[in-house]
Amino acid sequence: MNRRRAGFTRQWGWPIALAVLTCLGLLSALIGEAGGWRAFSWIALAMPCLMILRHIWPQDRR
Amino acid sequence: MTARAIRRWALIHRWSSLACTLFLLLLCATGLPLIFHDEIDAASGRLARAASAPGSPPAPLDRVARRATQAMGAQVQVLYWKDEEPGVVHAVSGTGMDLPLDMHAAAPLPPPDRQGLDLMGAMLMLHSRLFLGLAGYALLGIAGLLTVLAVVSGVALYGPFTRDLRFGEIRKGRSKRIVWLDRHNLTSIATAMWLSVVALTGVVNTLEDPLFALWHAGAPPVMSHSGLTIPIQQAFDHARAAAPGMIPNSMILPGSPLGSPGAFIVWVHGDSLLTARLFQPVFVDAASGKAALDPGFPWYLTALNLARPLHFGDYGGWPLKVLWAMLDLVTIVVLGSGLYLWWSKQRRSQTSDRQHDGSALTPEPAA
Repeated sequence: MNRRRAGFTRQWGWPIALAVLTCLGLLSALIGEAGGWRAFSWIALAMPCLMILRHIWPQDRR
Repeated sequence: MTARAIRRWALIHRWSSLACTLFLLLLCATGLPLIFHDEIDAASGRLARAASAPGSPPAPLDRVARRATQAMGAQVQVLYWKDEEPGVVHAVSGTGMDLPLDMHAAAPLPPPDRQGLDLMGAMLMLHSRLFLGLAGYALLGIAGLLTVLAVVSGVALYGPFTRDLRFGEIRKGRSKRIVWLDRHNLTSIATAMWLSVVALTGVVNTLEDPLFALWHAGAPPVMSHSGLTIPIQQAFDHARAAAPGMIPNSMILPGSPLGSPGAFIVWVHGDSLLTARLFQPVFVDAASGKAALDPGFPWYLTALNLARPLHFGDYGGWPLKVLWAMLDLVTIVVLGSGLYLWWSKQRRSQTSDRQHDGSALTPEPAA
């Protein structure tokens, strides 16, 4: 049971995190300019791009 | 997930993706310059500039309409204003001519650079309806729904295909096909939510004309219809008084097919970042001048108002536009790698018949 849960987090942790960040980023820029809403949306929506850039070339298994 | 379920999802993914890939490639290519249409418009001289000094009192709208009608040789039906063109009012004729005028002098301004206008206009026509009118809207709406189906089936396949892999792992020393399978999985799962939102809001945008027609058919009737019409400026003032604090965006004169035979319609929006996206009509009776903000504004037009920025990505400054462009480019990689995977699978099953069919449908064992 615990191993299964660990497997789920390992496999789906990042996809779910990126999906949630995308949603929050899209909404926060709609809410407002002030108070860092806009800056947050930039960071949130940059995350999918950054994760792709980090992983796109073949790498050694750590 | 059972092997049968995987096969079924793979079938859905393959055919929904193949059906929308060409459309999506076209949409990504034409959408890229459209993200920056404000900047391109400004740089290519598409914006009209007012000649008179700011601060002078604006000319009555009746004079503006009269001068525009003279200059265009056709009756003015719509007046509108653009945020990025201070001191300028646009007049649109029933024949679709659009003339910018100086708001203060009521004098026609030189028409903006046609070349830039035509290129971006063509991009927009291609992007929104493939130059096919209503049929183009319908076709692109269906392509958008297929895109959502492709994303959902792709997410369902992501589980079995990456079970033994770390997130974003591109396996080393494997065939070109495996490397591109891993890249396809990485790029598509990272942008799945963004692509879903842009596809769904795009589908809502294709419904703009029918939704607007639906609202127009049921718009509140005007109270009286005596044939006498109050001056345009007076109707405008009444509309502003009926919607305090709201910013007028356009004015539809009586007799326009976009408006009402017995009323002026002034479209207004709020001034905060969120309410600036929410347009509402003020109806002004053309005979009595009685003005009222339409209280029964339908939810589907509010949804349409909100779908626009979420599709265009033009609501969070230039960094958001740059991110939108990057996500657009990533989508091209997703489409290209998907096409390659399909093509290499086809070729493989043709060259070796003995090989177990469906090798691409079942997860490749991780090294």
